[in-house]
Amino acid sequence: MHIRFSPLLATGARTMIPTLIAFSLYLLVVGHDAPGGGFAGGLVGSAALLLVYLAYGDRGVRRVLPTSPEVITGIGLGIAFLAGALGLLFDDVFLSALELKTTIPVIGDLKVTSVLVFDTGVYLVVLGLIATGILRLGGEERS
Amino acid sequence: MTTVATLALAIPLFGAAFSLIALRNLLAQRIVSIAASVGLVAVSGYLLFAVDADGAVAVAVGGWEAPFGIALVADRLAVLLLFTAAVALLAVLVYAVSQRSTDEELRGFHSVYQMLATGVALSLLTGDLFTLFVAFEIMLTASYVLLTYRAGGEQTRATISYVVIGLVASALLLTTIALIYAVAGTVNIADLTTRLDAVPAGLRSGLGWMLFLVFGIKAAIFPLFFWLPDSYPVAATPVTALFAGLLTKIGVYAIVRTQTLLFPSDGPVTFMLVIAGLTMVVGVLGAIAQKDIKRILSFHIVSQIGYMIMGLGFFTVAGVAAAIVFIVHQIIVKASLFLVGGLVETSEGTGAIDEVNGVAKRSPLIAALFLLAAFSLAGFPPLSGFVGKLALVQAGFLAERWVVVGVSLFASLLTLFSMSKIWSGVFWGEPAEAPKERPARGMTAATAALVLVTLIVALAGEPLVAYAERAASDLLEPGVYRTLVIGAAP
Amino acid sequence: MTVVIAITAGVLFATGTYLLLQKLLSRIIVGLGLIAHAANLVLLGSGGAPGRPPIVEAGQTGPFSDPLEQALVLTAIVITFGVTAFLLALAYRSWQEHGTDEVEDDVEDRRIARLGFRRREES
Repeated sequence: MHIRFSPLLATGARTMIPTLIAFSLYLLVVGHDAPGGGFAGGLVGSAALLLVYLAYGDRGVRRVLPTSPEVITGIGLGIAFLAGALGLLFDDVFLSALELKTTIPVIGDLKVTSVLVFDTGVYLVVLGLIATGILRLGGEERS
Repeated sequence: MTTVATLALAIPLFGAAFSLIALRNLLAQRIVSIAASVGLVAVSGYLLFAVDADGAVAVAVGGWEAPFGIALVADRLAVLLLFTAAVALLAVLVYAVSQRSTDEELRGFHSVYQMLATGVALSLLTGDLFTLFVAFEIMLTASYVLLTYRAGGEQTRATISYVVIGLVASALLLTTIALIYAVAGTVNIADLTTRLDAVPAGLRSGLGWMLFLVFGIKAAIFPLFFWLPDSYPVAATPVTALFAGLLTKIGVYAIVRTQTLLFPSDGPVTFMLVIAGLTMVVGVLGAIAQKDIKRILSFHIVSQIGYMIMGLGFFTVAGVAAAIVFIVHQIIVKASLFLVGGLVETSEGTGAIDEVNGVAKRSPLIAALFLLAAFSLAGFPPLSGFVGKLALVQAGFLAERWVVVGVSLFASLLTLFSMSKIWSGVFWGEPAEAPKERPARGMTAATAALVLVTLIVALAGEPLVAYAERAASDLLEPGVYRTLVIGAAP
Repeated sequence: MTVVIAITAGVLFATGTYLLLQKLLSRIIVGLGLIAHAANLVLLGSGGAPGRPPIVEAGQTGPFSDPLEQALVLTAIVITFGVTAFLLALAYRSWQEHGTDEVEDDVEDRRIARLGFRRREES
């Protein structure tokens, strides 16, 4: 079945998608002590993916994803697990939050926590799951 | 030792994550998954002895102290069941891997399997009600996926009813937890043990029965069991064996944990004993009416749940200890019986007892394995079922509850009758036609290993009962659990 | 828990239960969603009066609401979200296979019903 995609939507998506991705990354990075975090960021990122689906179909989604969505979920789960293991390794407590504060000249204070690592994992899990949903339920051809 | 207790949770999670990453490579998935299962057996085996020697441990996850953070509590009851569950998980996994027409080739089988293991470990180890809810969700969602893998045609209805019942029970569990939080202001079990004292008695027992009801749906007690014999036989053998061995028992574990710690009673609870008796009899009567090995065994799951609830209903150290021993026995025996059923189905092509004949003549090993497991289920000395039932009957005599003890013995007789029906239908007689396919060696080996474990459970009967009694007295002694998790009462 | 939240949760439970008893899987899914929302609402209501901020700035005083049950309800919502997605996938597959999302009768139920029917005709 051939589906013709709307050129209006495709053009709009071109500007919307980078904005959504940037916002989702912002939510991810500030998540450790401001509203946001991996789950919210992941959902906004998946909104970008959905826009790709609406504008370019499931082939488009397949093309923007580096690997199969299940593997993305797995990598996310693995990263979240490693973040927990970091706590076990350095603090003797699984999932405990480690902090690293440095001051970089010109840019200013920088605070990196292991929560960010965990949140990155959550981000990827959410993205992978929604991509799985899009491709499995919205695919044109059946595997 | 807190690190080891956390590892029991981290290892299956690791297995789930990395077998999902290796989705394209079945061999790598198998290695990760089996390594994780072996690791879980090792860790929980260590905990089994360490906790008994040095006392229970409580872990504050992420460094947030209880009652504010999430606590993991590895006490005797939790680690005993964790170890048993880990053994069953490993044996079933080996069986699944060695099947020829494999279920595990389905995408992500190993990942879902390990996620289920994570859920089981978390529900056993968690120290607060909300995390218990989350653990149940992890476990049940994994079970939905495993059950629906092969569903198609007529099976869709059975799987849908399983999923819908599970979700309704989860929503009710969440509501109950919300109400408990509303009246007590905490979800930490240790903190609740004292906070619930301040709640008016009527409200308190209402909440207790609500929890009993929702966990009762998961544990398949009378009259909330109807979904189980309908849905379990639908799945592939390893999946059914796993469900039969683990899922309902985790429900019983939750009942034992919450009823003893949060809603203790001074004496036997007649209502619980009535429910127990009805569960036993109705379950076994259902089994007698069935004509398919897996369906018969599914009804027996229900029937045997009654024995555990009976032990809890006595509300004595001996009774709760007997219930714990019985859970251990059931996890192993039920899983091995279903695996034997799977062996018969593989070699004969069907599990309908009218169509299969003479398995004993063709493959005496399968017959011997069935005989051992079935006798153990019926409670023949010197097998593990006898240890459990003897402890239960003794506890019943001590509590002077003659009627329910009599009912349980009657149900045991019916169990034996229904097992002999399988035996005479399937194993006796002349084999009619050529076998469909010989079960792979690994499948038979995994089943034999699990049946061997039932023998070990029987041989270790005395230390096991003693261990369970220590676990039960921890549960029934107010303050032990609380002191462990949040320190001495102010 | 305020009365409004309690009543809303009750109405959601009732509507959800009604929808659960329908034969179409799509209705059952909506029903389950409503029941899950009701449970989440009860959880949200268990923390006291609504309308106050759960997080207050350092040094600031004044009424604030319990943040714990908001965190709990967030977790519960995420779980509901995942499970609903799974159910929709199940309904989609059922529709692919049967062309309808009607849940069939239990085979044994039907057999028993037929037996009862026959007995009534005989007598």
